[in-house]
Amino acid sequence: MKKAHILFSLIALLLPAFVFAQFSINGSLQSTVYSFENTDNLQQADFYQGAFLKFQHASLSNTYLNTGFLVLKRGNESWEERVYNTYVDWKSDAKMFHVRLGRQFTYYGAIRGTLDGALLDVNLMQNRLNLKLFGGFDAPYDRKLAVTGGDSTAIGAMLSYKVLESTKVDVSYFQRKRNDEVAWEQAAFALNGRSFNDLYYQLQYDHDLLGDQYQGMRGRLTYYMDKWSFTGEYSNQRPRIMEDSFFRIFDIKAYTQVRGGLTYMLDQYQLGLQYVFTNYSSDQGNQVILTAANSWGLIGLIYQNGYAGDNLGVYGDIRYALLPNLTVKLYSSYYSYERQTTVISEDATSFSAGFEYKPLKNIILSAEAQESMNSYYDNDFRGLFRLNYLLNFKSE
Amino acid sequence: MRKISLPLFAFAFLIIITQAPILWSDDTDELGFSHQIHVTDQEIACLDCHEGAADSETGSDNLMPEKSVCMDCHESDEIAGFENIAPITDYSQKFSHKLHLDNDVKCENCHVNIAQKETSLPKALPVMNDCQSCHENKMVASENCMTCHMENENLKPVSHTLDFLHNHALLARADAKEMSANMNCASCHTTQYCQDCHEGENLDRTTHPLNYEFTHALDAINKQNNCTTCHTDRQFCNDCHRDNNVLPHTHTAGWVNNFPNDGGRHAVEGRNDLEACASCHENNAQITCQPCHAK
Repeated sequence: MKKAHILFSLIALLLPAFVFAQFSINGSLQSTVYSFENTDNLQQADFYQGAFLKFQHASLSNTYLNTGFLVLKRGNESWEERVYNTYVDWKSDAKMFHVRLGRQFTYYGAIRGTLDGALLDVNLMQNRLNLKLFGGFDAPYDRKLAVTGGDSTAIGAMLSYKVLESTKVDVSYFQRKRNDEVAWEQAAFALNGRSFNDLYYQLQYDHDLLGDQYQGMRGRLTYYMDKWSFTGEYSNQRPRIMEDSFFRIFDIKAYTQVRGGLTYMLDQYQLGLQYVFTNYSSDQGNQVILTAANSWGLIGLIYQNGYAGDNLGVYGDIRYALLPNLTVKLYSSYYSYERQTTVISEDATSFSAGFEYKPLKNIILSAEAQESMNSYYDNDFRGLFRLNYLLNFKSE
Repeated sequence: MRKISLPLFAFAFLIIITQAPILWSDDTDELGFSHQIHVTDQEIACLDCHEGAADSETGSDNLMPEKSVCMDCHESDEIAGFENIAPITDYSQKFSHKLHLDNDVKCENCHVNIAQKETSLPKALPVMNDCQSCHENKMVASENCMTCHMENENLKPVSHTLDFLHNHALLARADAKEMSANMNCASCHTTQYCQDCHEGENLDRTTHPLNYEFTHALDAINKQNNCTTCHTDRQFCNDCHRDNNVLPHTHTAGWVNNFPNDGGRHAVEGRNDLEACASCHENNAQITCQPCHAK
């Protein structure tokens, strides 16, 4: 709780300073109450207060401070904080150099996850060559304010080169250490680009250096036409098992998955069909998904059989603007399934209804009732109430 | 032979799809116009030819020079066969050259390296990333999407098809600037947008749909999602299953055999989906697995 108080006090103290000092502030403050019946059959109300803000000073136009965090209180538990990101970002004038310092969400080749540290990004050879270097620590998995420090260091690098104007090759490396022991070490290669104007291709390969074994690969081709698009994808992946897990003693084959998909635009409607085939060590699974969507809604039909279970499901999602400042939201799904390993037939039904109302330019109120039922287990009813205050301030 | 032919085929395929555009490019320059000669060598100002640009307040204005403008310097026989250039009609209707020029934005700031271009194609029109060098910074220029985009414009890129939830990881990882006008995810989405799904509380069901507490096993076993990408806490599965008293129905008679080389059904399931075993037994493997497997 103490840290949560410190966070909000700091922001509250700094806000007036920013206002009077030629600053701009963008983002939102978000208050949420979430109510449901907990596992002890008692009604519980959780409270979440979020702040997602970007601060910028007039004299430092290449620099900004970004933060996204929550303080929350769940039932009778004590207050806790979740700091998803808080970093200072700087770019040089021609964007040759880019530095990001603090807690940040990373997804650069093998460098993945929320990390505390410094990212240096350099563009060379007229942006044909890009080098990213990261050094720091693994952020705590529960996103506490604390820095893990020497308990869990993380370093990574990624080199990208534009072979052609529309073809890029990436090579990356990422290492995590826990208590001075290398706990995660992966290298990755990726090729992506475009050919014949409308054919897009991606190929990635991951190698587990710590276990000295192949981790996975994925290749994808997509062809976009005026109304049609076609996708074919092949992936092959070994199980993701934690580095110090007992399960590392098993030598398990990778599973293979092949996906095919097509999308058709019919006026304002988008129609989609996907087929997924998964090949396990000694079994197979199939999945077919049919979808139809427009700008305010989506309906889908899913059928699967094989190792992952037999399932027939339908779902629909509507977000319709009744008025310019009032949007209604409806969602429903019905799944009838039987997992092959359990041979127990189950039905699961869900329904949610809510609205988003914007009484003022910078305020959004929303509420939603959510209910999900399962023929075998339970009925779960929940309520969500949220107030969003949008900040869009620039001092003169 | 089969072992060799597959990589060879893959390699050949890769070469073809990456190099074909160069071999079969139809991006020919029928106009034969050189900005290099006119702007750099002859030092002709942009507005001398693109006369209307200084007062243009909408993207629908035709700012291409007419043939008569060329004839201010060229004899008619020098440009015989040259017709008026087709106007650009697919650019932002809200774009105002006047506003930008009045704010000291130089032509070359947006039409990058145009003074060195020796051909008229491809056109040197700024893509959204170029605009964002000013428009991503509120202190310099508006960040509002509707500053440039029309209210009824469909801003969803072609890549965002109905299977995009599955596909987006590959594109994000590739920093897929090639997908659409040199744009990547950050062109439209903030970091928080990623984290709302990847690390958010899922209260409004943006990450997983309602009912996922009942149906997630179908996705997990079908490898629809990589659960551990986000759920890095090794107690995550165990805590919820324990609190809700949801125990596996698979662990019945015949689940584990003690016959040599026959582990029963659990051995088959383990080979098919070891992640499922680890999701519950990660913290107690020493007690439940090691007594047999460490023999």
